[in-house]
Amino acid sequence: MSVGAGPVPAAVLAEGGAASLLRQSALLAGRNLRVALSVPTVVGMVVSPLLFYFGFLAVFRKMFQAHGIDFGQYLPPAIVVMWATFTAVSAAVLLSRDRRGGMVARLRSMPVHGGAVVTARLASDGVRALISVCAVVAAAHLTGFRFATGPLGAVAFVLLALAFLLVLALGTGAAGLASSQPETVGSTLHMPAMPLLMLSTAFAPASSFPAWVRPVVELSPVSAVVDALRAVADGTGVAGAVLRACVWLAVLLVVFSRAATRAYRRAT
Amino acid sequence: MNDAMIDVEGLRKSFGKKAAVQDVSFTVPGGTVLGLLGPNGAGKTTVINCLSTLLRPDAGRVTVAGHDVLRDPAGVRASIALTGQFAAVDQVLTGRQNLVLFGRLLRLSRREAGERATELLSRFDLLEAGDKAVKEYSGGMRRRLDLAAALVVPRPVLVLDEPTTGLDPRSRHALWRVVRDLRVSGTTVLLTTQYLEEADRLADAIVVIDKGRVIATGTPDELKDKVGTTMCEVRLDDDAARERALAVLRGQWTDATESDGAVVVPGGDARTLTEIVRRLADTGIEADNVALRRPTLDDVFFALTGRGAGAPGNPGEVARAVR
Repeated sequence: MSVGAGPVPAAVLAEGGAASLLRQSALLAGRNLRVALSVPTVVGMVVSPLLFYFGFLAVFRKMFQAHGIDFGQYLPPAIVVMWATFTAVSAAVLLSRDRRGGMVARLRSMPVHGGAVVTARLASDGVRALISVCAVVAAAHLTGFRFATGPLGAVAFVLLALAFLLVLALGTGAAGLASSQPETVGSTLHMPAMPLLMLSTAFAPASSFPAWVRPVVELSPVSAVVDALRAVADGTGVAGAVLRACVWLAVLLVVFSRAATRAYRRAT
Repeated sequence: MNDAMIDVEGLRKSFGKKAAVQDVSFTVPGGTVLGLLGPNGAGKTTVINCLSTLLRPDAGRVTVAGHDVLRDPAGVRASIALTGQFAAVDQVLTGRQNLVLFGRLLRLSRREAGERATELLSRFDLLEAGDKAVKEYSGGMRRRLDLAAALVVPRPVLVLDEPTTGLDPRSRHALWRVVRDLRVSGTTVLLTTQYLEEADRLADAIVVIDKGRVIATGTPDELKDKVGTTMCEVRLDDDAARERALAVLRGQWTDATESDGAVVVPGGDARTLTEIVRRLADTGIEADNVALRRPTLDDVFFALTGRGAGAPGNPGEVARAVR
């Protein structure tokens, strides 16, 4: 059979295997970061979460103090989780934009590993979130935020925050890949994001919620992650809180990775 | 098995209740160009998406370079290069960075990918713009880069989805030249288009699809014989004048039709046109505009779908019957 010009040995273009996945994910993540690491977006990654942090701190510090809560210690995990949520939403918007621009279709029609596009997105958003989290932790340190657990606790704190972002971005990414309208994806995902953050222990303790909504707050995966971040920072009840957060993240990981795989396979 | 590089047999694909492709079959022999011609929404892109493993066919059999799209999708992806309707290149990266990225994704080394990028940039007349961000490119440059990206690692089958839609004539001709070169070098090409002229210039064979079905297959010449090579068109904005003109012209040209504010006489040359103008002037009808033009896709459809001259369903006929 004729194969026309420039026949390519099948082995050269074989697409399976972990090595392909790693190499191609790294290449695509490099492209994502080259796009994301322009000066204005880096400023956004660092300045915006800090504005939220100092804004909340200025407004609510005294009120929390009156209730016996050290807000400088209480607030940073909330900002970290909120910012991770926003980053996950933007991951969805960027994937949707790649789909609308035809990039997803092109990559899907190429002998490129099926997991590379989503893995690359997660990797580059992990880097973006890492920058933001470090900025928040550093700024918070200036205003009295301390790790009772020492440097190891700080590392655990950052890793947990990143794990939350990556799992969440897998879910939002599935939504992003399912639509070729990035604006709609953004506004649709922001809608559940806000109540999810508000109906959690991020900004207020569970005991301060009305009794009828308290079960929701206590069960929320956002609460599980925020509580674990606080436990790691404060050094109290670490094992239990972290275990609970990890169980939640593991469950969501299974659900969201299936959704993302399915969405990628259907994206045209 | 014959030397068909693309073989589509009884392809069907629905989205929910909407049938996008109902029954499409065609074969593209190795080293030839097939034009898939049809209006917006005919199902061209769906066919291409099934062919390039982006969509799973509901029914039918599709093979590319001998690989079945369902049983061996990886084999298909290794044999096919696709450029979609959008220039699928990164806007923030430069032209060169885009080509290097795609080359390295296809397992070229950094050095190989760089050399190949330079080669393609110069071939597509983008060498100067190579280090500018793609968002600064014109539409034509973007399309050329898109095609270059598909050729980073040559593959035996190239699929182009409406490669020249929205392009200026110069860019369109440049793209046509590339497709011809590729054909000469032995690449099998499938291209979709809404322009009869494009299919005519490039394709060895044309498949016309409408509403998800093949309505004609043949060489460009066979297809054009069904329509005539030129059309005389008399534009008349006034409805009543147009009615009268159609009646007058039908006296001599029985296949005259009314279409979109004009009376169209298929076939004919400059003499025919002069004759048309004289006849209309004799009956006191003043045309807003007269022209001799090439058949458009509309005309082909008119001819192929049997909704042409005198057939039931012709809007002119219906209007008269009501009156």
